[in-house]
Amino acid sequence: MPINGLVAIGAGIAVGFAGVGTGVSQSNIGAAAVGAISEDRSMFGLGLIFTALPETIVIFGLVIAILLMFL
Amino acid sequence: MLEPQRMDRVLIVGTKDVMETTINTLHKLDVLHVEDYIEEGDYFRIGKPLKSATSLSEKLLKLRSMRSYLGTNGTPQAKQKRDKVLHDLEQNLASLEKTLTEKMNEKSSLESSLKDLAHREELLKPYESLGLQMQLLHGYENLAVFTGTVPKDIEPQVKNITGDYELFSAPYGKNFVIALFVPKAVGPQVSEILLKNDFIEIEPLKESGEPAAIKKSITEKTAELKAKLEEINKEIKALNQKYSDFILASEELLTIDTQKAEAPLKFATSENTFIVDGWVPTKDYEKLKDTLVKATDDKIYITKVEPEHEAYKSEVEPKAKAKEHHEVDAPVAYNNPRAFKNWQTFIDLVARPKYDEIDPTMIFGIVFPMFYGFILGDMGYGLLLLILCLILRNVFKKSEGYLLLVNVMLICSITSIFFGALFGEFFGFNMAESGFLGISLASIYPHAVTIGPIGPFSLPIERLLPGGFNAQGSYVFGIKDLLVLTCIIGVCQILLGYAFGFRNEYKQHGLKMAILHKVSWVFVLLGGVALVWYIFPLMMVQEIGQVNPSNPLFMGGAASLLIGLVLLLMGEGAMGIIEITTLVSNILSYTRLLAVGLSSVGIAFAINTIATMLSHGGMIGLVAAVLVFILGHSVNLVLGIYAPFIQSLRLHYVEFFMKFYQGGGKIYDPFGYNRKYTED
Repeated sequence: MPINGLVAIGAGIAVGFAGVGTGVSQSNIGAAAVGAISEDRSMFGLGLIFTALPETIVIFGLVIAILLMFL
Repeated sequence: MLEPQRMDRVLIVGTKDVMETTINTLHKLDVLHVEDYIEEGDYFRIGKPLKSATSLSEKLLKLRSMRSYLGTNGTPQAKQKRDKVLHDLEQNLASLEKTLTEKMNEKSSLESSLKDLAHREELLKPYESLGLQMQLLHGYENLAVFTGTVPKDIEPQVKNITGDYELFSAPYGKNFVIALFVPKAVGPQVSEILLKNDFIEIEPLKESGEPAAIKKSITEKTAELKAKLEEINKEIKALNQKYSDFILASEELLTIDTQKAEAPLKFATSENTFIVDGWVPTKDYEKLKDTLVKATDDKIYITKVEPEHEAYKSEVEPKAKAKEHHEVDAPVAYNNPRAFKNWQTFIDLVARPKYDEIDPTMIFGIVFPMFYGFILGDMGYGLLLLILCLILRNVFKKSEGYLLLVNVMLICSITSIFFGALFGEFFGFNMAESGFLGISLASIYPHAVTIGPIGPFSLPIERLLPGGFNAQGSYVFGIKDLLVLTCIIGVCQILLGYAFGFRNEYKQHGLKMAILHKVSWVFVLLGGVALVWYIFPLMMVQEIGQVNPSNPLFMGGAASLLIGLVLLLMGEGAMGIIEITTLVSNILSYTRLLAVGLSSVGIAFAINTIATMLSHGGMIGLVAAVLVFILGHSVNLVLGIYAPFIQSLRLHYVEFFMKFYQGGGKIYDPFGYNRKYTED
């Protein structure tokens, strides 16, 4: 199936805006995590996990994009 | 394997005359985790440290401060004999301390003089620009002198007040530095005018002579002091070199002796006896008992005691049942095969497991590299990473932390190469088709393979293409198949998580809680998966109306979901139902295995395309192509090393561990010392 132009735009929007969402949340978490780590080095592991948490959002976007493009 | 080392709680009782022998033996064995005695009742008191404790810790303090002054940071050479070190310690400590204190005092006085000089030099700068003799600027009876900086010429305004003035001015940075002499009588008025014009007074220097000459003398003095300081630093360095072995060895010995001397602080003692209460790994109990009894000529009594149970802090458990299930407050030591030692650090990064909890190290150690490989999945990057790790292994031979990371990455690089071969990718090139620089592996990959019910399919798996039947009529797995596969991987790992959770819950709170809290979720998960498996394909072809409720898959799924929901409502209430959305997002989260990898291949593919296009542009184009290729792939490799690591780590920590892991166990810390510099 040739990919319809509107479908491609939709896929782009799905990834793009999901990425913005992730970025906004990660910026806050990242700043807080760096603060916590500078207080206490042992927070590094936990900080890393917290920072990676919102990455799920953009992956949802990507999944939707893939579904749009290939199914 | 999947649970921490089993521990025995032991009590050691003896008379005080064998206390020191006991302490020495225990310290040497390095297996007993001593529990602090908490004073209760009148009979037993917390023990007093041995007599030597005070003098030992004084010496230790001195040594440690010397070590920090000298910056001693050695690697263990040949181990030194205990007697020799103690002998040296008696002789050297006092004199070394005296020398070092002198040197340090001298150093700090030199440093403070240097700071003063630098300050004076800074103050002198405006005077230098002005170029007036310093003694001319102060010491007048009838004249007021203003020295400072102004942003613009102020002569006209001074003229307005008095004609009787002398003004020297010179440019200084963006401003002017001025020295203004006026009769004392008009001083206040002039001062006012000056302040209105942003005059900033400079700090007066009570000196005499040409500023240039003063500057010269300061420079000379600074050089002289700096030379002296260097001399002293050299001497300190020499001291460090001469005594570093001595300091490290004696610090180790003193630490050990202080540990021993202070050990009774953890014991319960009466007038003539002492009791040590602690934990020992079950496998070491016999050894501990035999060695201790032998060392003290049978003057000591050792016994295992049943661990005291503490009731679990539970939110849901009815109080009447609290007695049945208990937490054992034993220290936790890992019990994994040697190959998995490195992975324990990643578990500790979250928290040490509890004593009666599953230790997920082995699962983590197997699945983590697989996930990593699946995400990176490129032979070229894998090979580069492998080479990098092999080089770094030699570089970081002595630093444990880095070595651990390198060893872990080494395993990950091998799985990356494996998955790279499966995906047929080499730096983003499709090796099954065009290949790289004319080398293609197309002939190696099998076509029309049939494994059980699957087939005929062909390799490699297409990570960048939708997949489907190829010209030969065999199936090529593509993105949508991988998307489903990653979800299935997620379901499997989460099911495993619930299985572990069931075991933990069963051990801690009993069967009923385990079923309500974990089995309920398994039913919900399986039911949900069955329903989606049936409905989703229909949705995709927009035939949702065709759903047939009597289909066994649909019925089974619905029934399972219903049972799960009922159990969930009983176990966790309405909150449990809300949590179902979390479960859905947990499973979808596993699609990152495909997604993150896909983005990395996408970038590699783009770099290759750009480089190929450039390479057709003559000589300059070729150079640019090579540059783009190397630079692009380096950047992508850095991302490719970092992103899969974080993502696989997160899948374990968040999606997997949340299903069963609590952590927060007490770390097993046996009474003893890991000696690096000395021996008996």
